[in-house]
Amino acid sequence: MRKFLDITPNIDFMKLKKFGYIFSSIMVLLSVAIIYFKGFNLGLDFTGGTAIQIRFEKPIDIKTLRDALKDINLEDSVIQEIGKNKRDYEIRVSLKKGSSKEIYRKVKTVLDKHFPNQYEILKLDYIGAVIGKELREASIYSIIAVMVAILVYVAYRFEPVFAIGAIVPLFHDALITMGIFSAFSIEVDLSVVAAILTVLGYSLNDTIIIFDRIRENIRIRGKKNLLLLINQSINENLSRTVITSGTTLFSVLALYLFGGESLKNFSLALLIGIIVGTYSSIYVASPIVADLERYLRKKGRKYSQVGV
Amino acid sequence: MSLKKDVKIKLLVAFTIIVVSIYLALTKPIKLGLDLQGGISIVLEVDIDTVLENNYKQLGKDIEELLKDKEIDVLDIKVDKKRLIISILDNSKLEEAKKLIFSKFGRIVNVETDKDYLLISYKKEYLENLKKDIVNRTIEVLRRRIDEFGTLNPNIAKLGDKRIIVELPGVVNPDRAKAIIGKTAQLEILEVVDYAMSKEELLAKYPDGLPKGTKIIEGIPKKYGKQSVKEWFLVKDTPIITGDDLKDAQVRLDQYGNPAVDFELKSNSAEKFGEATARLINKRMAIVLDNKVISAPVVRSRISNAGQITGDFTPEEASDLALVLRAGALPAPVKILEERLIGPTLGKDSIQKTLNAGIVALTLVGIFMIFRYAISGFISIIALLINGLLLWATLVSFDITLTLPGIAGIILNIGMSVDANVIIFERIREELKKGKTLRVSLEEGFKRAWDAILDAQITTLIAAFVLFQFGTGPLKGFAATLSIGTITSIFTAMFITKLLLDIIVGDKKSMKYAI
Repeated sequence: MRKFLDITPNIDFMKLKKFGYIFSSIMVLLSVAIIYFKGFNLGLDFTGGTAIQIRFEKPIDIKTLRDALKDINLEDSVIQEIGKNKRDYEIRVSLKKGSSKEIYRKVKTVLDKHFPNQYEILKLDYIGAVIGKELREASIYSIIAVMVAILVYVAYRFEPVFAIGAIVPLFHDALITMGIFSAFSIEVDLSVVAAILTVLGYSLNDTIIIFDRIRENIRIRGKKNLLLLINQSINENLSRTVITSGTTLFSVLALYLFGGESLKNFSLALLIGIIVGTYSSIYVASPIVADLERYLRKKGRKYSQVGV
Repeated sequence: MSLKKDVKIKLLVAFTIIVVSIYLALTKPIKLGLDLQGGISIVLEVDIDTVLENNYKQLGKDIEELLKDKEIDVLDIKVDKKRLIISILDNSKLEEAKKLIFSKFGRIVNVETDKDYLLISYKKEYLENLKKDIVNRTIEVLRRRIDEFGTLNPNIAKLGDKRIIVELPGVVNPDRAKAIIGKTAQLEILEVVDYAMSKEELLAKYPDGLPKGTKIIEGIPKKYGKQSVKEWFLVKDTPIITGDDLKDAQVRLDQYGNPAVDFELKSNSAEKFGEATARLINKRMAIVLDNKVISAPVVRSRISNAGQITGDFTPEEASDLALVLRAGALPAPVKILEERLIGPTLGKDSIQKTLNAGIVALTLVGIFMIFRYAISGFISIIALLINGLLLWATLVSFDITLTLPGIAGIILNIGMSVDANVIIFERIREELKKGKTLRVSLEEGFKRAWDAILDAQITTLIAAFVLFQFGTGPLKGFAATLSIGTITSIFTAMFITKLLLDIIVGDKKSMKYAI
C-alpha cells in the first residue's frame, strides 16, 4: 500500500473517455427515467403525517402488530421493521387519519391492551402538511443554490470552460444518486437531501484537485497539447484522487455499518454519492474540459484568456 | 535538538491554542440536541389572521361610533383579515367620513374610497409591529407556562417571522406538553341568556334572529353513563370577567371529590364579578375556555373574589388548566405544525452507535495513513486528533448544539480532514521523485498544495453553508460540525502538520520513513 500508485501510471483516460461518456449518459438517462416513472419513496419530512417508533421487550412478528392495530383501523398504515432484531418497529400514519394526538392516544391504548408493559415509545414524529410542502420546496431550492454557488466560485477561480466541466458532473452525481434511491425505493428524507448537498460540495474536491493540476501544467507548458496535458494531469493526480476519496469512504462506511438505523439512509447517500463523484471527476469532468476546449478551438473562436 | 526561532514561536502558538482548547473542552459541557438526550420539540405557528380579524372588527365598531357622533350613518361593515369595507347611507358624505377616520386613526390605517365604499386597512409598519408584538408576547406566555410546568433548560425561540419552536428536553408526555403549549387558554365567564340541546333547537326559539349583543357557543360533550350529551348556549357578547381578571388558579377537589380548578380574582375584578353574580342568582353563567363552554353552573349566591371551574377533568388536565390560567392566555391561537418526540433510549442508542462508528473510522483512517505515509502519516493523525479537539472546543465555546447528524458530521470529518494532508504528502513525494531534497520537497509540497486545498475545501463550505440556511434543527448540527471541521482541518493541515514535520525533519536532506 505504501507503494500504491507511487509511480505515476500512464493510463490513457482520454481514450477511455468515449466509454465514460456512453456509460455516464446511460446512467443519467436511466436515473431520470426511473425518477420520472417511479418517483421517490418520500419520508415523513416531505409527505407529512405521524410516525411512531416502538421498541418491544421481546421480538414480535410484524403480523401480530398489524393485527393489533386492526382495533383502531390503522392496520393499513405503513409498518416498518427497524433493524433486524424484530423488536423495533415504526408505524406511519398519513395526515388523513387524524392529528398526532389522536393517533398517539389510539396506538398507546392498543399497545397497552396487547402488550402491557412490554413496549417503549422510542420516537414520535408529526409533520403537518404546511411543513412537508415547505421542506420539499426548500430541498429543491437548496440543491439549485449549491450548484449555482459552486458554479460562480469555480468560474471565478478557473476559466469558464472549467466551470462547465465542474458543474456537469454535479448534475451527473446528484441524478445518479437520486436514481439509485428511486430504483431501490430507499426512503428519501431531509437527511438524504443533506447528504446530496454534501456530496455536491465534496465530489467537487476531486475535480478541483485535478483542475488545479491542469491549471498548473498549463502555466508551465501552455495549452498546445491540451488532451495530452489533461491526461497526464489525471495520471499524476490519480493517487491523490483515490486516497482522498478512500479515507472519506472509510468514514462513511463506518457510519453506514455501525452508525445505527437513524443514519442509514444518510450514510448510504454519501456512500453512493462519493463513489459516483470520484468516478465523474476522472471520467466526466476532465474529458468535458478537453472536448470543450477542442470544440471552441475548432470553431476558430478566439479564446483569448490565458492561464488563470 | 536546536530549534529555529520561528519554529519556537510557532510551537508556542500551537501549544497555547491546544491548551486553551483542552481547557474549554473539559470545563464547558457540550449542549446535546433533543435527538441525543430525548425530549420533545414542537413548531408552532401563531395565527395572526384571527387576531387581525378581531382587531378589524373592533376598529369597525370604533369607526361606526365615531361616524355616528358626526351624524354619518353606517349601512354595513364587512370585515376580513385584510381590510374593512364600510358603506354609509349618504354617499355624499364619503369624503367627510374619510377625513374623519383619517384624523382619528390615520396613524395606523390607510383610508381609501372606492365608488360607494370606504376601504380601511392597517398600515404596513403597524402590521409588522403587531406581528412582532404578538409573537413576542406568545413566547413570553409560553415561557411562563413552561417554567411553571418545571421543565429544565427549555428552549423557546422565534423561527422566521410567525413561528415559534419549543424544545423541552427530558421525558415528556406529549399530550400534556401540547395541552400546555397549544392551548390558547382564553377564559371568559359569560351570562347565559338561553340554552338548548342542539343548535337548531336554540335557533328555532329566535325566528327573528338572535337578540342584539348575544352569540351562540357550543358546550363540550359531557358523559352521563354511556351517553354523551352536548349543550348549546346563547350568551351575552361581553364577558363578565376574562382570564386577565384572575389573580391565581389552583387545583382543588369539587364537592364530589373530582378534580376542579379554583380561581381567585384581582380586587377590582372581584367587585365586578360580585355585582354580576348578585344579579344572576338562580340563573346560569357559562365558563368558556377557547370558545367552548366547559361548564355552566347555576349561580346560587353572590360570588366575589373566588370561584371554581368544574368539568370532566382528569387530575392532570385540571392541574394543566390551572397552570395555563395562572400563566395567562396566549395573545393569539397557535397551530402545531410539527412535533418530534424522542424517547431517552433512542438518544443513548444513537450516541453509543455513532461512537462505535467513530472509533472504527478513526482506526481505519489511522492505519491507512501511518501505513502509507509512515512518520508523516503518524503526524497527520496527531493533527487529526488536534482537529477534533479544536472542533469540540469551538462547539462548546459558541454553544452550538450537538445533534446526531452533527456527530455524523464529525465522523465524516475524520475522513475528510486528512484529505488536506494527503494532498500535501502526495505533492511532497512527487517533489522527492524529481530528485529534490526532503527539506526542499517539504516546503514545495506545502506551498503548492495550498491552492488545491483551499479550492477544494471552499466548495464543501459552500454546501455546508446552504445546508445551514435551509436545514431544520438536527441537520443544522451537521452543517455546523462539517463546516467548523473543514475550517479547523485547513489550519491543522497547514500549520500543525507543517510545524511537527519541521521539528522532526529539521534541515535534513533525507530521512528514512519520513513520508
